[in-house]
Amino acid sequence: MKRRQVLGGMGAGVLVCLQPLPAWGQAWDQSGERLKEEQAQFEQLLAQHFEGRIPVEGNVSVNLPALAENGNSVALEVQADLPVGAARVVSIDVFAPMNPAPHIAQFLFGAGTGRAQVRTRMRLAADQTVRAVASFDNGRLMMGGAHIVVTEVACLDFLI
Amino acid sequence: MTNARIAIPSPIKSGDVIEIKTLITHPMETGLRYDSMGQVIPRNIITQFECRCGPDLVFKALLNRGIAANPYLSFFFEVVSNCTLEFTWQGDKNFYLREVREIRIDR
Repeated sequence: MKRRQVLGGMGAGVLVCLQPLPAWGQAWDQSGERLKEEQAQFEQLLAQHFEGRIPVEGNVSVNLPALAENGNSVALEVQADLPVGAARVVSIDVFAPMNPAPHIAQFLFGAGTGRAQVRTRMRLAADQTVRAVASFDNGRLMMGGAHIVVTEVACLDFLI
Repeated sequence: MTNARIAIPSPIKSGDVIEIKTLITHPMETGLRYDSMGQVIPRNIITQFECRCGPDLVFKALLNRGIAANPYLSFFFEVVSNCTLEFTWQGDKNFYLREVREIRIDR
């Protein structure tokens, strides 16, 4: 009898454990949807700013903290290194696809800039991958990105 | 009151690539927020920053609503000779500020 009770208890326990699983599944699906939305937003931005040309991944680094407690001011650093065949970096565009105003800034470099590296502070409205696209003087486009989790987002009023 | 701060390292040797840091007080109001009466607070941001060495462009930034209040910008400049750097900020509501700094190569 005792053994049966124990087994029964275990069975119930397993059932309880199984219960939240569908909810988890839903959450995963939602994050998948969000990723798709973010990707679509980014592709739209590329179409707007670069006539749909797709940048190649590489040579551009975006440095952000992995987690921001406050989305109102997040330290951002972007840097572009020259690919083969390019003499200089012309510009770097920064995008946050999930922000209400996703084109954060465009940085343009003169010939006298020794290094295509910029630091600033940005606002973030949601968890997302911040992307930077660099244009080089030989016409190449290259990009990089960094994912960031935001615990307290900026632009809250916008959502109301 | 708006005030801008510009940090330039010293001493500087010819050929150095120096980091120039700028900070300006500005609310960078996004235009996406509402006041207590439910009215949209109009956008008021700095839209453009420029740094020139004489007529030559060193660095230019076109800023949007996604830049935090009191915009901080740091960028690099390769010093080849003595020069005068001119910094300008422009924005909504005819915002305009100009600062000038001399760059002197130390021996």
